[in-house]
Amino acid sequence: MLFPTLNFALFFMVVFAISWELKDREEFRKAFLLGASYFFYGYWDWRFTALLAGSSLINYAAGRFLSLTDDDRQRRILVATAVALNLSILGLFKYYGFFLDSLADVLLAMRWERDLPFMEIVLPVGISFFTFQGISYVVDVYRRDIPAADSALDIFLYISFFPQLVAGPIVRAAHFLPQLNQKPQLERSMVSLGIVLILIGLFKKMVIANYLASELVDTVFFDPSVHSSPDLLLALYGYAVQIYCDFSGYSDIAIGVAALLGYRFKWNFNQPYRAASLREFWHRWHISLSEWLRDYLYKPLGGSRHGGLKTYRNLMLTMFLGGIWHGAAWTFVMWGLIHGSVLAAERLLASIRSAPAPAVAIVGFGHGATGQLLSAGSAGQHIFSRVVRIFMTFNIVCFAWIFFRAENFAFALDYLNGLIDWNGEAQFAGPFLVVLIGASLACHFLPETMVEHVARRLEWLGPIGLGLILGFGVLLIEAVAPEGVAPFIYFQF
Amino acid sequence: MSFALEFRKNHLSGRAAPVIAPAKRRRARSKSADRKAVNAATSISGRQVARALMIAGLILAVFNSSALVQYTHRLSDNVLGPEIIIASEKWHALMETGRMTEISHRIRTAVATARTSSWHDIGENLGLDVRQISQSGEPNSQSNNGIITSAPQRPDERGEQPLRSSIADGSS
Repeated sequence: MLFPTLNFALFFMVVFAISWELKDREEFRKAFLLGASYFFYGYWDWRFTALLAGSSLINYAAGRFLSLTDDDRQRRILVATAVALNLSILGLFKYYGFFLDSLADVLLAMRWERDLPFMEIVLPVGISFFTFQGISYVVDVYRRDIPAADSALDIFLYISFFPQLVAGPIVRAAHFLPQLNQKPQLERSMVSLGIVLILIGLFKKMVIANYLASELVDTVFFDPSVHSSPDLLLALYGYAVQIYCDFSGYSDIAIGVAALLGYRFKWNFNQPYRAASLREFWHRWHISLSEWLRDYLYKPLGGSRHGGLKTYRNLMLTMFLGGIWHGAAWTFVMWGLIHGSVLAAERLLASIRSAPAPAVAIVGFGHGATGQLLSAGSAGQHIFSRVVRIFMTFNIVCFAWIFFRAENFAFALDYLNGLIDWNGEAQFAGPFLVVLIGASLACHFLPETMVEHVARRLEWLGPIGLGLILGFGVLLIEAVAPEGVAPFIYFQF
Repeated sequence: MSFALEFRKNHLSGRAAPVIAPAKRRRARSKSADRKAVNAATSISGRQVARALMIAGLILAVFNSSALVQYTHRLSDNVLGPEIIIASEKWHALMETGRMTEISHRIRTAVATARTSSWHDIGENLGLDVRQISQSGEPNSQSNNGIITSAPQRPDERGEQPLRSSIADGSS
């Protein structure tokens, strides 16, 4: 069931009404939300609900067993087993075909061809997201960051809660489970924020992402070799905007829907293309994934605790695995490696710059006219330097998007060749697409708290005002958006 | 427990009845009042959202009734499919008669115009010299390796239908 459909709207209206009717009977409410979440997931393919239940059961059982023992060795074995089981499920469904394809290629290259047990495995939607949530719960219990949940219902609901089930954000148990144990509340601020986020998310997905996909990106990426360089560049920027609007739009709707049901999720995006470094980019892009990778991969690998070389290795490994998490293809590996190497390079540059300088430290320019002039010059220089760094970061991110979006390596290389060998005329650079891309990028430089400000303004509206905003907002989006509903990009991950 | 036993327990057992400090009592009372207020606020907000959702649904059913028809056609396998389709078509016809669907049509036409507009059209609308505008995305521009050899002709000057009227007709 996709968010921007009438099916989901009807489903949500029923869930909303019944869940708030049950607000005084918390266990019934949770059971109802769990049932609704399984219905939501089973709408794609009911067989996969068993997989979801199995994954939840593994993590619940692991948490209970961990709470029963204080023996470090036993706890380590338990957590390792649970993580291995989670990763095996993910590996089987997501990487089995990729692994065998790669193995077949290697064997062929070595002239050791063999019949390999190929299978047609359908990728269950959202498997990477719920697996990561399960792992985060078990590891948090192991680290004693959170107590093991007594109620299986809590864990099952935490892993399958429908707003975030299929494409994140990756909600952490420490953040969500305590909310399940409190009486649900629906404050005015949550209502207005929920409605604003749902409208923004729908606009991002249905209008911006869908237009860019259908009128520019899909056509150009389908065969990059036949398009001119300006079109390739425009489609690349278009894809940067498309994937942002597609994914952040989903996250916005998920956060908004959860808020209307009385649960708070953390922000998953914060104007990522205004980042002035790749490090900052990862603090603004898919925040829940970057925090997950930091806490469950980068830090356990040693983080930056063991000096330069190991830090760079850890960064590369983390981003490599972050890349492969997105999909079983070498293009995703390349995407991760580009991010890893630039992050490492940034770290190296920062360490060179922060080395003690032999020159006299300048603490200020004083208050005189010359001082003010120098200060102003310095401020100007600072702004200019930030603008340059934002531009560079954006283009590095876009460069990596080529590998992320391309069907395969050959297409990605065609795309790069087309960009380097600059020629041809822009066929797609009509005002509609240019304005769509330009305006979407410009929105990244609006105040960061603008959504909250708008929501605060709407807090005191009554049901009629809210209904009018929601109704006419959706009507406008529906009228402006292209025909049809495209699935979200991140569903495939 | 008999009345006598209860009386003895309460008054003669020597154990002082627990005295709740006034401040503590006040705090407990205010906590419970807070909880009640939050509960009441939650109920009010819940009812408000439910009403807002219904109003939004009504707006969409009135002004975007064509989507309702499309949706019901997808339910044709359903037992109630034919009845629902007929009802939605009747509803849509009623809305069209009342010109309620005009808003959606107008927005769609405006967007379609914007989508197919060229820099040439924009330049003309802004009163700029069209020869100096990039040819990008212009279906009617004439170029020779990027050099504009003459001012691009308007579609109607070339004996063609203007772009916008063809969109309005739905023929493009």
